[in-house]
Amino acid sequence: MCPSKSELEALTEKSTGQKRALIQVLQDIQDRIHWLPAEALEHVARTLGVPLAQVYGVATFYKFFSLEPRGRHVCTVCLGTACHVRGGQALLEHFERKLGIAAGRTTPDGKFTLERVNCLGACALAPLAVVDGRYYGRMSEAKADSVLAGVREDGDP
Amino acid sequence: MKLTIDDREILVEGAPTLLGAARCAGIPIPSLCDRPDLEPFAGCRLCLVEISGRNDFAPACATPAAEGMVVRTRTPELVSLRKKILELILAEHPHACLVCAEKTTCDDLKSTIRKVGEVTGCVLCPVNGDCELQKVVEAVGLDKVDLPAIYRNFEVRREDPFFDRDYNLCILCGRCIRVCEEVRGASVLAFIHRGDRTSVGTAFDRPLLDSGCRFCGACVDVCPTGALVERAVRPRPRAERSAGVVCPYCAQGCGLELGIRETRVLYSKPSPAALPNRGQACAKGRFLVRDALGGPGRIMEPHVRKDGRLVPATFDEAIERAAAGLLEAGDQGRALIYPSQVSLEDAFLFLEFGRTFMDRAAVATAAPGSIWSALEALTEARGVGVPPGRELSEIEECGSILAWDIDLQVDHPIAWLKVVKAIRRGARLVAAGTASAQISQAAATLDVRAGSEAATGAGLAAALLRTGAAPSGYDGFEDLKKSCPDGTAISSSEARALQAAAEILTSNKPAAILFDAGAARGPSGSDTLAWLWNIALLLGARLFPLGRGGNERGIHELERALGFPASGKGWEALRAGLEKRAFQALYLAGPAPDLEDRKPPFLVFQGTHWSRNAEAADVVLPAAAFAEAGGTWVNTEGRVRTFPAAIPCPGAARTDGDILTALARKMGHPGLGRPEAAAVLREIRTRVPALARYDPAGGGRGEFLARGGSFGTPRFVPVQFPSGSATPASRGVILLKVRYSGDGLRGFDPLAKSRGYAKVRKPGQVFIAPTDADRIGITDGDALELSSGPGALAAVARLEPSVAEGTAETAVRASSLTERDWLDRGLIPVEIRRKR
Repeated sequence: MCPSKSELEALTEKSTGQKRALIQVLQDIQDRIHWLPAEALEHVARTLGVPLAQVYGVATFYKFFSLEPRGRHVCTVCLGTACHVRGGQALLEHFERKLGIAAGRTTPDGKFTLERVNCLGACALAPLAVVDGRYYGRMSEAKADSVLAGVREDGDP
Repeated sequence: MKLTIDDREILVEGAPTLLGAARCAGIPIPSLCDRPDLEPFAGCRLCLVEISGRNDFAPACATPAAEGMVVRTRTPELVSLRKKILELILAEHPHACLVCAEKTTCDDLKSTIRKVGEVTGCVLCPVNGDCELQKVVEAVGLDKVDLPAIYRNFEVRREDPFFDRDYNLCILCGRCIRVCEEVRGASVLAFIHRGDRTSVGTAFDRPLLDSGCRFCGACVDVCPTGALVERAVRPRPRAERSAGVVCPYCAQGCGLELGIRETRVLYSKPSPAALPNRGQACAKGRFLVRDALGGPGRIMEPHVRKDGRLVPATFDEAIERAAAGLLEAGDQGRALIYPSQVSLEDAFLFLEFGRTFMDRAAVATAAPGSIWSALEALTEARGVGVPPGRELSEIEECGSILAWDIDLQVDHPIAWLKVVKAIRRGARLVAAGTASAQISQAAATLDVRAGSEAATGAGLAAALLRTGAAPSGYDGFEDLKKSCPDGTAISSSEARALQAAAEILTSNKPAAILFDAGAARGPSGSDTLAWLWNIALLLGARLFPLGRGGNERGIHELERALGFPASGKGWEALRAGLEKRAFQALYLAGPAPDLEDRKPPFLVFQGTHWSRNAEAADVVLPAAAFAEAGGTWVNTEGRVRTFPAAIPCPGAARTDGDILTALARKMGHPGLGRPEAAAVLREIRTRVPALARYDPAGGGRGEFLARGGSFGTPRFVPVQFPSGSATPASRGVILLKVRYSGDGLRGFDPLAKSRGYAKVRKPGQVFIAPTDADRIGITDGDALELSSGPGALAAVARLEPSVAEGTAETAVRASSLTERDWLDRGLIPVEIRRKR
């Protein structure tokens, strides 16, 4: 999914000429379409007046930014110390089996992206998974299945 | 201020960093990321020092020296810390060469080559023995690396011209990134990815060619390791000596250092202290000087035509044939085309030869009209003179810069560096024209439509008047005001752009105006120059006319003093003579368009490289190139420098002076000659007022041309306010603006000889507005034919939104007569067709 030119303009317009707005603008685009296509980076570089190489440098530095298309739903499994101790690894493997993809990949139909994260800072809720921005604490395999089923039924095409 | 470093009291001036202060005092502090020409980075951490009163260590490169500071640079704690830091750096850098026990004997015995299965540095590293990292390891005293070695296994990037990038050897000091951004203003490179995958790279990791790189080589020169190395320079054998020369390619005249082994030039590098370039150069100066001196295509021995074929001959035989042919043609039947990129000494002898044997109107260079002759014409026609002689570094101090219809990054790279520096200091750039590098850094842009340049100039002058620019003390101000109407015939968006530009220029003083001969070309060229002059007076701005060819300015002074027509004008007369077949013999010693069937019956070619003209000649004389002849060169600033010959002539080549002397003697004028270069220079000084006080022994950093003549009191020049923009006569006809892209060196054309350079420069493109392209039915990259009357040129289409509808732009090398004729006209209505 690529944003249209007018969409990109709307997302970057208020930051015209402001180099320091770079990360915020990239975040806005990432939020909107879940990844950063090359045309978007080029547009941001032109509008903000930041060299394209530096834009690319920032985009590749932060794990939050993706330079490849991501699924419409993003599942993130925490493997921080607390989650790890309480079965985070098994939970991640369950997600991998269920979605049929390895961590860091996107399903061929473009529906799900699975990611692992080193700590979300909510260790009291371990093991923790995040689906579409919602945090699910004390996650179990059964709970994961129902969350995924709920997302699947969510009126997606 | 006074401070103490390692128990020594040190007196420093200005505001140096601790590292700078220590270096001044001769106290060594190791560093890998610092460079005097770059801003402090504090990346490598090797320069950490201890400052009394602070309980952490401070990087000396990023800590300003302060009064009374007490600094220690080599406490046991610092020494061990440095070793640890260096070990960490080396863990990711193949370091066998740095710590191997056999490193001193390896060169002779090659004992280690069989022991290593993988590239670990050492014998396979291109800079082994000439590596800053090796020197730092030595200085820090590291003799082993305890950490496990990590080979990052990056693919070596060999897809670009001139140099390779092996990021397995990179230590991430960031010098290349910083020089590209801070000094060159290109910002092609950045750190990409993160953690142990971090490397230096371009946007999307594309090849440099697709990332806006101009291949100036600055990154290669600052790299402390073998990560960036010039491909053509093999690690061995090394240069035995170096020699300083002035780069002859363009008028900026960079100081270059040639690395020489025996009689061969191995490389050319910008000299760090040389002016105006200060350690910088361009792709030609950095990578293409060696090729211009040797390589295939160099003429090594004299040739004469026998039975229709050119065959090698002795020097005397060739001179005899040339003399006989020239004499036979008679005084009126001879013409001389002399080279425009030679030393003053050689140019002087050519002019003397021309004065002796030919009509002055039959003596010219084939170089396109220079900005100096255009300014002289302005003086003659309108009675004002632009006193030239500003140093390029004065651009750095300006508050605003108007770059007028000029491609600084490509045609005047050193002037562009000064603009970049000014912008980094807060100056505001007004980019008039289509040059993309300028537009990307500009605070305001102006469209300069082909054929309407004078209108834009007039519009800017009118806008300046509206912002209230009213300098006192210059005549003609009231007339200027009257001639600039309030409501101009320009559209409102143009009016806004002009107003914005005018406000930037008036509120950020002093302003600088940069332009070259391109501004003076075309039917409205002289009006454009007049408007630029008026704008400069309105703003109190500094004018920077920029020359193009090497020594163009010096030779212009010679022509003027010796009574020869200025460049451009001389060619016009000679070209007409060729067309009328007025000459029986032509002495062709300079580069010239391919003469094809306009070749006179007898042709003597003298030069460094074979060309179509050389192959059609009756006599071919091999001439010395700039570094083999030495001599005096004047750059666009008016900076005069003399350098001695760096290497001997190859084969049977001789200096132009020697050849001219021999030829003149054979033709019955033994007095015309070259006893020695110094004597010729003395003679030049008596004949050319601007050089009268030049002393070649004076310091070597270069003196300046005296400002010739009196320019009187500056005053506004009357010039007609243009009524509207020029439009093509009929539909389907496009106004083509023809620029000059000549960047050869006498007979050496880097576009023809270097595939890499051709990829960088991309010759033969025509820039068209996308709307016109749509209408004609062409797309980006199509092969086109541009035709106008009898002439036609081939070009590749480039769609460019900044080009105005109904116009197009191209740049020609003037290597054919058609190209040259089009260039002289500057603006041509053409029909554009897709080539079948």
